Amino acid sequence: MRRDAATAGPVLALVESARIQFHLARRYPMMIVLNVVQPLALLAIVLQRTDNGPRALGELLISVLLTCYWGNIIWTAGGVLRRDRMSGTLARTLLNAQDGRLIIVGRCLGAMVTSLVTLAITSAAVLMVAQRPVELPGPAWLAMGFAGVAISGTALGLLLATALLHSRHGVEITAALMYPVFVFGGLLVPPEAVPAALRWLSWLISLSWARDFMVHADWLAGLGLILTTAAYVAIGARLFQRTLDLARKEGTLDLV
Amino acid sequence: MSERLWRLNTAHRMGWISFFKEYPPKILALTAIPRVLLQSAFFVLLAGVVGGFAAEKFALIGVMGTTMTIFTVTSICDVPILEAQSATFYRHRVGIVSPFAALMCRGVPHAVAGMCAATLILSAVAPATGHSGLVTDLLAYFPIYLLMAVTCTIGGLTIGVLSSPSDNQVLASNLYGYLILILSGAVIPVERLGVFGDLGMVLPMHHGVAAVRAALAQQPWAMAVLMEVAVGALWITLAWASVAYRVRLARVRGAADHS
Amino acid sequence: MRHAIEVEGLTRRFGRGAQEVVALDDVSFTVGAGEILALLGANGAGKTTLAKILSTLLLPTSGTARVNGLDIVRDERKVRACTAVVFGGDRGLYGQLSALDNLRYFSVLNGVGRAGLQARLQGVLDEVGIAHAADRPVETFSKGMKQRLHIAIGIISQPQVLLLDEPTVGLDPIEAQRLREAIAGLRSRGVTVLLTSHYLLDVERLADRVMVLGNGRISHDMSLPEFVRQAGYAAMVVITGSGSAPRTSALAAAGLDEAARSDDGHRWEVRIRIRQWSPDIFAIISHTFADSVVDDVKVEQVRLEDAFAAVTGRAR
Repeated sequence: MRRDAATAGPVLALVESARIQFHLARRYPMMIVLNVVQPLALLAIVLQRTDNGPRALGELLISVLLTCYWGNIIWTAGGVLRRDRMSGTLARTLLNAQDGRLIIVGRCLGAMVTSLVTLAITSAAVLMVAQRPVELPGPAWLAMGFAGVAISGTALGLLLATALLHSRHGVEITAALMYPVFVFGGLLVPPEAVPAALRWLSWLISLSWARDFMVHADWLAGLGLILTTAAYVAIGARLFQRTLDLARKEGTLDLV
Repeated sequence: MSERLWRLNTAHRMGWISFFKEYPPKILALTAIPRVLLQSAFFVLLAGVVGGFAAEKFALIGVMGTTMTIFTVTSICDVPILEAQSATFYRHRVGIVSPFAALMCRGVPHAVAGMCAATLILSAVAPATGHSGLVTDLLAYFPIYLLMAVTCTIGGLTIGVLSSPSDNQVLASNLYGYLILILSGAVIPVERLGVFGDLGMVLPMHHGVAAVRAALAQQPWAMAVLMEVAVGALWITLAWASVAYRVRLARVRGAADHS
Repeated sequence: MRHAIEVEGLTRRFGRGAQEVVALDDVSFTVGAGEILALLGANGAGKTTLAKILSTLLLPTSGTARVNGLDIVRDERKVRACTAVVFGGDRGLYGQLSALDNLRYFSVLNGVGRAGLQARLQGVLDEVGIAHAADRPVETFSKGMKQRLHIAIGIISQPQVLLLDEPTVGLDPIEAQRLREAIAGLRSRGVTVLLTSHYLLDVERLADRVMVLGNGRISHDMSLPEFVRQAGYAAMVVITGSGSAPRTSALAAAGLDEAARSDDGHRWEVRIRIRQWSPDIFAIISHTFADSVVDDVKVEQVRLEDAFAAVTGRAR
């Protein structure tokens, strides 16, 4: 009985955190910007090229989707703790009976799944209006790709949420994080369009591997996605503990 | 300097103090400047992916204007939003300086920052993307970019004033910024936008960007500049009306936070 | 006496139909130049609404109000030039900016001239006691320091009429006293003050006159001594002693009220409410307690809380 409760507790905390984030996300105006306005703008630009076949268009669509998803990672998942700090609920998130990491992971997962679903709906609506045929990878690849993207986004969310908590300029830093990945992430801008010395930067971005995995059905890219995600988890978990220790030792964070 | 000008200059000085609180030199160097460079580079390179080198050149001219919106739309919205959050707007209402004039003066740093962004793009992104040839040509038309910085700042301030009493400032300012990006013809030629292109005619940048392109193509451009001035006048009227409306509304209805 | 504030038939309603709330209902009064008028009333009585209307922040639904002879609707700009309003609390200041930046900016907006501005900034910061923290961001200030900065912004323009809304709320006793001294200093400069407060100590120390608002109407308007008399007694005599408690029936016979009594078998305390002082009172008390062991006799002043409770009780 007790063991059941011990197992059910973390799972329940994870699910509840994801659920609460879903409800919070619905009230977060940036969600509309990131999941409707931004994909509309980017699709309006990439759809200007009319000589793309359905397959090339499918690749572009995935690239747009992942580009906008990056915005979601940094603003919604990455801002989870920053917004908690502003609303005075940070202590409740970080210090409770469950591991704080679990709560943040749940919150980030909720944010990531919400944004993936919204982005998919927006993209589908645009393509229907534009009446452009599109060819996507097989459903299995797509499903595995999106699952990987959701998990990777959650891991990155944990890392960024903790890292951005330290600065009172979190908004400015978040805004600045957006375009490096847009340019060097190998998503919409192909690596050959950036200087050769900087192409390696895309290797650090899990979304770049996710794109190759989905677009080229490349298992090796899948391995890249797993490895980068594992690195995000490891760094994020360490940073979280350090932040918590610092907060309790030196009172550096407004926990209440 | 007359007493009235001195008061407006104090508001302008306050604008700089607030601006540097939002962007201290370290944050400016580490976040804002890289964002200006990378955002503009992204749209130039994206245009290249879609339409090749010519499209890149086309986009660079426009993006020099639209990247200013980081300061002239997104961050200037923080001026009226700060008033709402700090509940300080009532202090402007009981003061002898018009709240509209005070807000406009506080917006000046954002227009200046917008111009600095354009300068940065011209000096770094243009050569980095292989468009060094455009640098001297565009320098000659810098006053048009200055005009665009002013019209866009006025527009951004209007959006900030209109949205500040609600929780939708982030949505409003970003929406406005993206509308300018797409409908001004900065990256996509206006003629391909159909009916949406007409909507862009009342937005800042639209005519300014068209004027620069016409000038570079040795075509008449003065009319487009005048149209940009007219759009600026339209937005300044809207800004004045929106401040006056907020002041009137607060005075008639009252506000719990004295705003 | 010249009137600094003249209010006639002032009414303010919020909302419409079933949602309508009457915050002020046909309010008329005047305040003489240099007078400090305390405006008392329960929450929602209309005190802040009145302060907002007089400071031109809010329009009245009907009626007129004049400040220094200037109509608050028609001559709003001129009214602003001679009036300052202080709403306390944590907000109304730029938290990230220093106290000096806040003070300088708002004083210029409020009409302080260029000449001597620097000296005045320093002088006012000294006066309210936050000169040492002038360069610190306001967000690091305690509630009391923020309140003092609010006052500094209010007084730096040397207004002829100052509207103070709950100036000592949230302050510790020492800070509240310091603030009262600053406000009292304004009286010597001839500044007219309309003070709304929940703290009767503010009223006691500062006011010349007291006005009580209840349900948007003026229920009482009187001088401070008159207001004090509303408590229904002039003082409270507290006698404590030991041993068996005295019989006090003679007090009632002589027209004195026994307000309270406590007795634990060893020590006792009797509180006698004195309606009006007369030489006989001492004789009656002396006679009543002649057979008791009296340890202490104290005479307590009238508590303004009692006066306020008495008048608001009547207002209800």
